[in-house]
Amino acid sequence: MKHGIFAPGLIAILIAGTVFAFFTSASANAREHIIGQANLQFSVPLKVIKPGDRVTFVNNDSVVHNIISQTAGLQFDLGVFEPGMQKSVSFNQKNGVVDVECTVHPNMKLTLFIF
Amino acid sequence: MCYLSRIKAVLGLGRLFHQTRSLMWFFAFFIIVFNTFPANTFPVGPSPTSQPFHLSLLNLIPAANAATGVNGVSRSDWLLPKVAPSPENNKMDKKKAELGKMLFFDPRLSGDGRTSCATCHDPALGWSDGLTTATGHNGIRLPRATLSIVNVGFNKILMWDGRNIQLEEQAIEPIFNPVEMNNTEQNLLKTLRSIPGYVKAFKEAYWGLGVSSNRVARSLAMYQRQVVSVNSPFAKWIRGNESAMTESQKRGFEVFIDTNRGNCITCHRPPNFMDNGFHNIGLLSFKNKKPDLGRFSQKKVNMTKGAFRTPTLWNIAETAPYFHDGSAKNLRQVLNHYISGGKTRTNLSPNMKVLRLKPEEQKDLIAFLNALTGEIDQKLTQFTLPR
Repeated sequence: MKHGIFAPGLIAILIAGTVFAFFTSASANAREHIIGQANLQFSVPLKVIKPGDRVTFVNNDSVVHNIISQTAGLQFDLGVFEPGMQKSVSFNQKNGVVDVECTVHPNMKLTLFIF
Repeated sequence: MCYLSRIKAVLGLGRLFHQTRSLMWFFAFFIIVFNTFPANTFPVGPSPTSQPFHLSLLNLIPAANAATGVNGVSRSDWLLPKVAPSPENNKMDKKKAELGKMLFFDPRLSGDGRTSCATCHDPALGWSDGLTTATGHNGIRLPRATLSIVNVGFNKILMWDGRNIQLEEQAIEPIFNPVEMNNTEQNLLKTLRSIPGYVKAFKEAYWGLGVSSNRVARSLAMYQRQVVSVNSPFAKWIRGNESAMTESQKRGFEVFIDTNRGNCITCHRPPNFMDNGFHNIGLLSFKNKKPDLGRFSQKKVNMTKGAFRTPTLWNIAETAPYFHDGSAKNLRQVLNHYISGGKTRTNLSPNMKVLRLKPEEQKDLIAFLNALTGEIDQKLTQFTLPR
């Protein structure tokens, strides 16, 4: 019976850990995608990512950008984006298509496919 | 405890639990730690709670390989063809462009028969109108200055607020705008179809097809793509003619491309001296009670408030006054504005900064801007209106 003191705690932790692992399995597999900005263009015009992935935008350009998405339900605005900075966005929804652009230079466009 | 013993007995796991207790603690620890902090996803900053989905807008981190200036600008970067590129659905064609020329100069396209495209885009006034802001139908004063159409075919986004992408859609818009040429599609087509010379010209240009507003737009766009500045001192210089620019103009070019001096190239980039971008340059008029919000009318984002599209600088010396509100009467006043770093700080573009230019550098910079004045093909202004 001397081990009985630890067993309930152990079981509780294992169950909690398993449940936690189950619900956070998506983030465990999450990846980071680096997308640059140079010469008024994104480094890629489109990118396929998975739910939970993070996209890091890096301004390698010589000018200020303002990266946004106005896609319904998937909006973000990274604000003033000075040269040399980087900012990240995590996409935790299950799927979708995100249209990303620079408001300063509207020809800078990027499409993110999440699935 | 009794309850737990029963469970262990049923499962037959009591001994196993006892022998491997330490190992289980070890695994439990790793399960929790690795699921809480997956690789490359360590949270750095707070996540906004107002977003409809989870966003982690991380703190700003300087990138190691950020560019710090427009380096490596070569002369060839500024080379432009003699005719602007055409879209696949409106390839350059001599007959269509000739038709476009007649339409461009014909006041019968307007509702009252008095205003043509050339009324505001006058070749004698740098393909603009020389006014502070444009004059519209019945002499009404419009809120913005007329943009020159010189090199317009190289632009990827059009108008001060970028409301048009294709030159074809832009070309037809003023004809039907009630404060500009104030015509209707029905009346336009009726007018053009009543003129035998136009009926013939449309048939010849469009494989026997007749007058349509779509073909009016296509021809007008095609004509405007030919309005290209050539043989300016700068254009000759970038092609290797060293004596085409004066020493002052060459020094002015150096100031122009130096982000620590003129900083002009930040927005006025090669080859068309523009970036297809929108910037609030801090004009005084943005302090008005109801200022012109510019790009914000098309894109509702804070940064676009008071931002206007960068104009080209080719033939800029011919298109005074300057800025979207026509507030600068000459290039000297333009330069003074930029030296100030902007007179209205609200929503000012981060690209704007106080310029510390020596008097000689200022003189050289203006000299360089004058070197951008080229020739436009004379044939583009020679026409006879059809009857």
